[in-house]
Amino acid sequence: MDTSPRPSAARLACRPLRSERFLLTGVRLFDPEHGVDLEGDLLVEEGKIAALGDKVARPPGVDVLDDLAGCWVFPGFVDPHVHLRTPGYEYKEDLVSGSLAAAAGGYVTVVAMANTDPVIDSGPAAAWVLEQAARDALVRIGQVGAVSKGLRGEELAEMRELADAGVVAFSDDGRPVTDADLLQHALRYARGTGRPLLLHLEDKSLSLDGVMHEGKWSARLGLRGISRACESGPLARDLEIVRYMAAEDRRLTEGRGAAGAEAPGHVPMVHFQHLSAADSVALMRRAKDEGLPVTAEATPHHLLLTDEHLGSFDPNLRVNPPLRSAADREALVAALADGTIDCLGTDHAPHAPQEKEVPIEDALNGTVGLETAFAALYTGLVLTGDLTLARLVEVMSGAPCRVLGLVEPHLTEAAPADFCVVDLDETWKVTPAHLRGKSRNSAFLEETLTGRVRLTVVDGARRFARARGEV
Amino acid sequence: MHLISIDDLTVPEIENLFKLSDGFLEIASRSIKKVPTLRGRTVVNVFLEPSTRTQSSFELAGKRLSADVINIKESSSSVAKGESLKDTILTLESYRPDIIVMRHPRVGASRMATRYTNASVVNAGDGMGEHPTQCLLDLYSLRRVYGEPAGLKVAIVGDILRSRVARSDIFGFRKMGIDVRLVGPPTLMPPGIEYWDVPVHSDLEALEEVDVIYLLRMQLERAKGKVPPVPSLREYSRVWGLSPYRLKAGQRVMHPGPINRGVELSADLADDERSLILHQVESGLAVRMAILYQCLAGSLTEEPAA
Repeated sequence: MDTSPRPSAARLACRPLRSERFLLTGVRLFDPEHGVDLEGDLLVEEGKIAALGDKVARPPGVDVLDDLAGCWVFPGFVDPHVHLRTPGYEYKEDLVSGSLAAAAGGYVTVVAMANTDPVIDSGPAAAWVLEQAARDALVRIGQVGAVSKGLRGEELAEMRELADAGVVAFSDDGRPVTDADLLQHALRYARGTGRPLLLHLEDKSLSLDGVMHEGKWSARLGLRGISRACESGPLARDLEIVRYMAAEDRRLTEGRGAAGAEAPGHVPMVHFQHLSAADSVALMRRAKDEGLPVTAEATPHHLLLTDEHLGSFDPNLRVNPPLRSAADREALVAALADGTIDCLGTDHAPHAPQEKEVPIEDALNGTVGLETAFAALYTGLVLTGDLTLARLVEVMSGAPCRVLGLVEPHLTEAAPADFCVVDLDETWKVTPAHLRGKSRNSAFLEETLTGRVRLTVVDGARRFARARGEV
Repeated sequence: MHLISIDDLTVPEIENLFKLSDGFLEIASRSIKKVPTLRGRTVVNVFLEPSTRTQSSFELAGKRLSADVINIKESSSSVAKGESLKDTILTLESYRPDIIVMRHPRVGASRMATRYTNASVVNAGDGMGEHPTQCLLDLYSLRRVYGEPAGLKVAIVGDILRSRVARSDIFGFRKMGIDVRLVGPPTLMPPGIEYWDVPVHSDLEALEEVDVIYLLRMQLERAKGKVPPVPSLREYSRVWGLSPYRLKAGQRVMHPGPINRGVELSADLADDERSLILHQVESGLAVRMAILYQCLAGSLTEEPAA
C-alpha cells in the first residue's frame, strides 16, 4: 500500500491486510516521547488506535487478546538500515523473509539499502522493489537509492528519478563515498529533495582486507586489523565538507522566503551509519555542538560486543565496521544515551551458510539483527542500567523517523495502529529457530536474552504473533 | 584434546610433554625407531599450505608410533576443485580419524575444524595465527640446550607481523618464564602488541644482552596491502640481517625454517655451530610424537614404550 500523500514524498510499501478489530487488555502502554505511560487497554479498529486508557469499553464481538496482559506496548520500531538482498541475492533474504524477521523483532518499518544486483540506482529499480513490497512485505519497506551509479563512486545516480520513485534516502552503503567531489555533487544535486544522505565511513586504502579491530586482540590472533582511523578519518573529512556546504546553504537561502520560488531548497541532512569507534563519537559530539546538520546511528552488535569475542573465530562476529574495544563500546553507549548518536540501526545483513561457515578471513561481513535487536539491547543495556527503557524505545522508534523524515509511530488515540507488544519477562536463548529470516548468521546465537516480541501490528493488522512460550 | 593455541596448555601440561619427548628422543636414537603405542589409530595430516619439516615430522611421528597415517595436500586433493574446509573435514570425519593435524593458510581454520570432527585437532600452523607445536619444539630445544628455560633472555627478530611462529613463541616462551623481547623494523611489528607488555626494539643493539636470538623468515608470500613493510630486502638484510660477527660470545641462534639465506641471516651463520636450526628439527620429531601420544592419552591403556 502506498501511504504517501504526494508522488515525490518517500514511499513506504507493504502488503495490505484487512484491518482487524481487537482489544488488548491489562497491558502497559509505553510511548514516553508522546507522554504515554499507563496500564490499561488498547482498542484497534479500522487501522487505527480507536481507544486507549485505564479501561476501554469492549465493543460487542471484539476479539480480546487477554493473553498479552502484563506485556508492554511500544510504538512500532523503525530500522533505518537493513539489507533485504532483493533483487539479486534472494538466496540470502527476500522481502517476505526479511519483513517477517522485522515483524518478529517488533519493527513496523525497515529501510533497505541499495547494494543489490542490480543496484537500486534508478527510478524504475526503486519502483520495482516497492511494487514487490506492496505485494509481499509484512511490514512497511522503505527503499534507499544509490548515491552513485552502480555504487561505483564515480558519477551521480539519477537522484531526482529515485526521489520521484519514492526512495527514503540516498546511500552507497556497503561502500564509502570516497571521492570528495562526488560527495559535494551529491549534496548539491539532492538539494530540496528532503532526503538525507546516509554515509558508510571507511577508508578502504587503510582497511584493506582487514578482518577485525586493530588492537590488542588482532595482535594476539594474527588477524589483520582495521584501525579506528579507517572510520574517523573519513568522518573528519565529511564533517568538513558538511560544514562548507551548510555555510553555502545559508548564503543561498538567506533573505529568501521559505516558500520563495527561486529558493533552491536545503542541502540534505547527512547521516553517518554504524559508528563503531570512540574517536568518531568525539568528532560527532563536536559537530553536533556546532550545530552541523548531521545525525548518526549505532548497531546493537557494536553497542554490545567487543573485539575480544573474536578469539572464538566465530565468522558471525565478522562485521564491517569491526567490533571494537571495550572502551569504544562504552563510548558508543554513552553517546547513544546522551543523544550524540541519534538512533539505532541493525545493519541486518543476511548471508548464506556457505558464506559464513568458512575460516573467518574468508567470511563475508555482517550479522542479522532484526529479530534480536530489542531483546539484546534491553538485556545488555537497560537491565544493566546503562540506558533507560524510554531512551531505548526512542532510538528504535521516534528517533530513526526524525533522521529519515518519516511519520513517527504514536500510541495515541486516532493514530495509525503501528505498534509492538513485548513480554519483558520472557527469557530466551537465541537459536537458529528464533531467527525468522532466511539466514542464520547472528552474532547473538547462543546468547540468553530477556524480553521478546509477542505481537507486531502494522496498519491495524497483526503481522506477527507468538503465543507465550512459543519459539 | 585439541591443540589449537599455545594458550590451550598449562605449564605442567607442557612439562609433561617434555618428559614424554625425552623418551621419544631416545627412541629416535635406536636402530629400530618404531613403537606400537598408537597401533590401530588413524592420523590424518591435512596440509593445505606448503610445508617440509612440519608435514614430514608429523608423518614420521605418526609412523614411528605405529599409527595409520594419511596425508592430504592441497594440490592433489578436492580442495583444488574448490571444496570448502567444512566439507573436507566432514569427509575425513567419515573415516573416524583419531587425530587431524592441520596446516591451513587461514587464521582460525583448525579451531573451525573442531566444530566438524570428533577427532583431536592439532594446529600445525594457521595462516598468520599460531603454530603451537613449533613453540613447543623450540621450548624443548631450549630445555635440551640450557636445562631450565626460565630466566633465559630471548630476542625474536624480524617479521613478527606475519609470523604465526612468533605469535605462539611470544606467549609460550613467557608462560615458561623466558624474558622475551621483539626486535625489527617497526612496520613488521603487529599493531596492538604494546597491549601485551612485550618490549619492542627496532635496532639490533637490543640483542647485546640476550642468550638466544630467534630469527624469523621474511614472509614475502603473505604480503598484503599495496605498501611493502620494508623498502627493500637489501636494506632489510643490511640493517636487520644477522651474520656471525654480530653474535656475542655464548649467544645461539634459532630459526623455525625455512630460512632465506642472505636475508634474515647470512649463509655462513646458517651453517655455524652456534645455530640450533637442525637441533630444532630433531626436537620437533620427538615433541610431535609426544603431542600425538598426549592427544590420545586419555583413551590409551598402555603406557608409552618410553
